Amino acid sequence: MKIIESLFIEQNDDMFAGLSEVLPLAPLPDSKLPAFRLEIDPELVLIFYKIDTDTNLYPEILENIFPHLERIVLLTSAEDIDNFKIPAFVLQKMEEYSGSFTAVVVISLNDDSRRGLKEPYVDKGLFLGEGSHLFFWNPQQRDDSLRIWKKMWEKFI
Amino acid sequence: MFEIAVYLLDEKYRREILSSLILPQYLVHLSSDIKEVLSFCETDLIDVILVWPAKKQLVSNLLDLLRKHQQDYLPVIPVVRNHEDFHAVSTLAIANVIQIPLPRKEFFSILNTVLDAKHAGDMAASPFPPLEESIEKTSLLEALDISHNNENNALISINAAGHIGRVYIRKGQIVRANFRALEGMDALRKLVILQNIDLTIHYTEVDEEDLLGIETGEILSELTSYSQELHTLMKKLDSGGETYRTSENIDPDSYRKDKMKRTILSLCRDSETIFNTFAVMNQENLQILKSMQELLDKGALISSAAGLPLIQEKKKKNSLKTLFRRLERFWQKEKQKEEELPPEKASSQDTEDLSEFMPEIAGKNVRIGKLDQSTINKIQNFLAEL
Repeated sequence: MKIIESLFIEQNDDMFAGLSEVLPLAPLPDSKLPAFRLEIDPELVLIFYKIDTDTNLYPEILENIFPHLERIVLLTSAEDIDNFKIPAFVLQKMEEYSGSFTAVVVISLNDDSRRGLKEPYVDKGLFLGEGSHLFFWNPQQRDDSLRIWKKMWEKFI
Repeated sequence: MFEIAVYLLDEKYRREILSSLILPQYLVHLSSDIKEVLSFCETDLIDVILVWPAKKQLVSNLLDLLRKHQQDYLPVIPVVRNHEDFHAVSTLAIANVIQIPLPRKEFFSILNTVLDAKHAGDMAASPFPPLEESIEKTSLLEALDISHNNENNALISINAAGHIGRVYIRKGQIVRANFRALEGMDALRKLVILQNIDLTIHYTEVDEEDLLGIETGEILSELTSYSQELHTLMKKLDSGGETYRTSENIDPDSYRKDKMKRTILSLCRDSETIFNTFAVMNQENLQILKSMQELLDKGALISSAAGLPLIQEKKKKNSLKTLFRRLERFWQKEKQKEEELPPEKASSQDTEDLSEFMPEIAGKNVRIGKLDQSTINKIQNFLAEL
């Protein structure tokens, strides 16, 4: 079985829940870190770990999962982005393992805020560097949540 | 590891407690419901109960409840907030009392004194076989074999430098094993190869469903062969050194298409033991060994047994802080643009403005295309059907 692990760092409690509402996630009851499982098929499972920006819990667990992470997804909102702060321990690990994961930034905002962007950027996200992307997300729209999930797993080049 | 039940009477302490009492030293069961606290004591192997914050009457109620359910052998430590409560609870049959605020060092000193006393008492005084055995020098295979032969109900906890696994045994049969996200045989193959383990057998009821569905005799036989094969191959690996480091001349980016080799090179940047490499990686140990051999053959990996000094190599790291600085600047610019320019004009300048942020964020250290195409297709197909 192939297991693909991702870490979500959210600025407030609702963001991961809102984004993942469209997915049939199952919580991992044995995990000390909040974690969810998405079974793609019997041979492929995605595991999503979730932490808050203001926590420094679980250093031992994070120490163990970092080498396996395929994606690190930063969830923030347009209003709060100035206050977004990655926990120090996580930041240290991100630097240590930079190059072994793809960084995805998801910023929630309403449609009006996107008007300054050209359509290709709305659709494909912003190119922040090799293998890193930024997406805008409208939490009010189910299709937009699905779009984020699809884009998140595209091969970034 | 000690298991601690916390009877939480003020939610504001929840975060502090959970961030202070952490694995691998402490496993916390926390509830504000006294009945649930009792249920922890009856179903888990609790070492101590903390009442946080405590009042005399509440502690007294808890002690009564524990007595009625024959759980009064468990030490109780009330955590109080003032002198009055300190003196009030001190009259009760408690193991110790902690008054907060208290320096962290002193807090753990009191807690550990009670825990150590309980553990020593458990091991020395009981005429019965101990409920819990810490057999650090016994291998997991031996422990599994013993539990199998004795038809025990047991939970075996394994801690190897923070890598934690559990094996559940019901009437001598292994019914479940996990190690991080790995389950079943995948987890057992990782667990049997771990070194310097703290291994604890909890003799307890096990209600876990049988997720393996394989007769334990067969499992033990397979694990024994597997372990022997792996050790034989490890001895053959290069010149048999147990510690490896990535060659200074190698650029891990040149292995961007090979996930396993890239991970190995990342792990061994500052030198790493082969056992820790097995523990940290989810892939099958034999495949890891094969990749390590290939890396050694190409000189990308160097064995400690080759007689080369293991230089602590500090790779220049590309800070991801940059990402957020850039992002913040971008966002500020976007806001400015929206304020200063009509939408059409702002739109026409996007390409130029955004291009400034394109190359620098994570630089060439960020790996791309790590997932193979068939995996991506599977995920995309799954999402398309939602």
